[in-house]
Amino acid sequence: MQELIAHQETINRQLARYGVKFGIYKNGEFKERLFPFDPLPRVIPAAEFAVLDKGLCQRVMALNMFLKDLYGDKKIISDGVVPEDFAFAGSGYLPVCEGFTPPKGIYSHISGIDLVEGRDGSWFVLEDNLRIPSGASYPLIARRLCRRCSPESFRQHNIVDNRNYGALLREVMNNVNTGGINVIFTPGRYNAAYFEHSYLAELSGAVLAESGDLFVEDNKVYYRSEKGAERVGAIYRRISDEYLDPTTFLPESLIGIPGVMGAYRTGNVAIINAPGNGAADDKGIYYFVPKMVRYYLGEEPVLHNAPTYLPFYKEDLDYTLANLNKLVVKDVAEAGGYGVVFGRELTQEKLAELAGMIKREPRRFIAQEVIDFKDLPVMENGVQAERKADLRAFVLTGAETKVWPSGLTRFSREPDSFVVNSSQGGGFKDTWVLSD
Amino acid sequence: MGTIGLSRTNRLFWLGRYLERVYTTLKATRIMFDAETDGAEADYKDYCRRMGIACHYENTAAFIRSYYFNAENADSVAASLAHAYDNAIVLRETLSSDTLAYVQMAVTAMELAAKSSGPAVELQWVLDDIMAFRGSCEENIEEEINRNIIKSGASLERVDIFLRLGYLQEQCLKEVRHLASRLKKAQLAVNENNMQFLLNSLAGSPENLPPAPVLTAAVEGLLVNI
Amino acid sequence: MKRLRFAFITTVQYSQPVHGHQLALRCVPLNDAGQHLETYTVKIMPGRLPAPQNDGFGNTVFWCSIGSEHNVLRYGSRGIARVEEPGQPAPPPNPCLRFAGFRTKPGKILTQVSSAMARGKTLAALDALCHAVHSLLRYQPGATGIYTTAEEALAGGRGVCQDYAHVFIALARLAGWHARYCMGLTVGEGATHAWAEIYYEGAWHGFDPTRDCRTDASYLRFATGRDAADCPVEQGTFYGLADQTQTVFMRVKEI
Repeated sequence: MQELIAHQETINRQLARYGVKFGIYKNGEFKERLFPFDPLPRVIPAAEFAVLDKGLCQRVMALNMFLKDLYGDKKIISDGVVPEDFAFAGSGYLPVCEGFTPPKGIYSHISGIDLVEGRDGSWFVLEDNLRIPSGASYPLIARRLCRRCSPESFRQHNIVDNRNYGALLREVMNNVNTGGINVIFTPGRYNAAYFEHSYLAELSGAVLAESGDLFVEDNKVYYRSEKGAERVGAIYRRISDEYLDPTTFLPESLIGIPGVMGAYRTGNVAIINAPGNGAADDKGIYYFVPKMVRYYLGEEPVLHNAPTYLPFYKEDLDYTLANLNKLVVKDVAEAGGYGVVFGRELTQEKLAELAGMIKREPRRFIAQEVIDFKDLPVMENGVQAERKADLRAFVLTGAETKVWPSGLTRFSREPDSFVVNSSQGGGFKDTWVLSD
Repeated sequence: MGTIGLSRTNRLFWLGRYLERVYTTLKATRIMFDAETDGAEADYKDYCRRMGIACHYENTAAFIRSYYFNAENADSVAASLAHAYDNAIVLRETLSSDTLAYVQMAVTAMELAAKSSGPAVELQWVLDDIMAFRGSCEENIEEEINRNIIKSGASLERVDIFLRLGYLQEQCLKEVRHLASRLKKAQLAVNENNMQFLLNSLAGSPENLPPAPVLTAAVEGLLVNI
Repeated sequence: MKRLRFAFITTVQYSQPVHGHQLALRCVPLNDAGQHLETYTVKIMPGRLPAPQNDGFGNTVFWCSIGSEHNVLRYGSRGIARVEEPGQPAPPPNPCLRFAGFRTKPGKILTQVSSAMARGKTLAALDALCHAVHSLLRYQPGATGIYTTAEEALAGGRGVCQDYAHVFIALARLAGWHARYCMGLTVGEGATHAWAEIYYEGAWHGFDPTRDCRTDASYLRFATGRDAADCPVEQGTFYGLADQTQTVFMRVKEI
């Protein structure tokens, strides 16, 4: 590891050279920031990864089965495992996905599962991201540059190569492609993750397209090219459902593909990930994922959720209200580290206010025990320091479900902060999976 | 990857044009300032007049500060480089990350030059990065047509600046011939009247050569769709 | 049961030519448990009609593309439908109809009004609700727009059929009912109408809070959903800077 620290400066220069950036809006102005990189990797031993691998595949398979069931027969609802209130009331559920199965029955092709490691070494799932999880490109390019700057580190350790992500992505797209080219659809260069969109297009060989580049005619999607219109068979879209199709969702969206839902429902194009996945990844439905694993697969979940309470249930509400000062409360409608409140940081007055909100709208909140997660070492101005970190694992579902042997490790840059999101100033590390 | 979008052709073309503008104007002004070292007056006013840009600079120092480094000044080298970057950043999967990195490096070098008291060295890096960009295009852009669109942009810009700055007639002619062959390879629709006019004018005798504004107007009207 | 001859034509005039038009049309009556389409034709001008699709609620949608320039868009349908009296056995509703849609999310006022109302799981309670909604609003075209929510309409105390239906649905859901918004035509001439249906003991029952009555076989459904946002007649985009003027012709006659 010492070599990597020694090469930190070189690595950062390389990252700057390759423009590894994410965009943020500050005072209404678009700015590109370098994503702070820490040279010390998170290292996951082979045996530990084998457990993660099993648990992640299991979880994602169950989530895919849930989505198919939810938009189809609704057995899990009629069997009373998941209450209607958590499946149909949220904005993630889209009626337009009812009574239709996407190509090959796959809903979540690229799943980003956020985990943390407790001090005792056990892993907990914090969040499932089944809509448009981003972040794979950062460890991907960091690995490439670190290998270049510090080859000795990679000679000395048996690290599983993670540079196959582009090929995995292509496989995922080809698997559901209905005939035509693969396209990565970006809202444009002023999107926070534009670097990622363009980099993944380069690696997977897909065409990077923006709104004006695609059009729909007679329920088929086409790409406007020099040679004329080319059929599109799969769209890896990097815009959210509500902007995807102004004929179906927000009519004022200018960044979508008008009419794409017609083509999708006709079976003429695959959309990756499927619209409507929000019904399976909000903070409320999260509580039920271990139950889904048991229900659909008849297996015990390998990975645990953080201990979670749903104020929707009377006993959980009572527990939450009685222990509010030591719990973390999350608003199910918010994402990206927003709407997260730690009870211990609140005044008596604010606690009472929060309790009132939970009583009024129990469905809107979940409460969780604060996990004492293992800190990871980071280099802070040349000195080693400890910081909170999580891991976003990427699970890709093509012909089969596979875990990418790497992931995005994000850390908070403030000593006592638990918030690791890049939009809130977090940094990232490479994630090494060892082969033995 | 054989698929290229309509908007992409435009971007490739303008990427070539803007980078060439940076390259050629840096070189042209360098010659001007080199002459100054030997006591000659750096006639930036004449330069502005020939280039057809407004001359609101108080003195040579102000010219250097603003014309090189002030990206807010639409005529500046920094602004051209920013435009080149804007076009390049949306072309990653066509150019390759490696090629794009050279544009990023030129931008970084330009930023360093702006902070430097004697920016000649950093400006040399900008030129180096653009040279490396050209090489990387050859190496990493798969489709020949895409390379030729970038080159067409570059070549057209060079013709334009050569004519404006009054380079030797035969040099201009050579560059126009170059441009004609690149446009063909890039399969870009060309206004043949303008092309013939340029070729004939430059191949003709010097006393019949039309004035620069007439020639550059023909250059700007060369392409039908861009 | 009634046999209805219907005609529905919408004409949109654009002040400038437009192109690249993409639109989703819900412009034919439903063919389901309570009503049967005997014969019908659908038209769109210019352009070709694609194969009909389903929008997840069972409504018929045509996702149309008109690439070429045009100044006028005309679409509609005509035919004969057989409509049963409400209360026909119907499959269980989509569970989402128990929860608020975009425009029927209850706020303070709806919640307050709801808590003051008697709750019984009976059709009589719904008749009372229908009557209450009718008296809470004053019919006034132009006071609200298509994006007005139930909460906003109630706050303003004025609205049109869409608003009446929204307020009724929002209150019915607060009382625990599965409620759906209906967009369609009724016997006579004029414009499209909106009302609400409640799922009760295996069947849908219609309430028209605008007219303060139950619906009957003279109500012809074109689309249903959580609220008006789920069942627009037309939703789409085009290229071009043009003002639009829309005229709707519709006629339904019992035969």
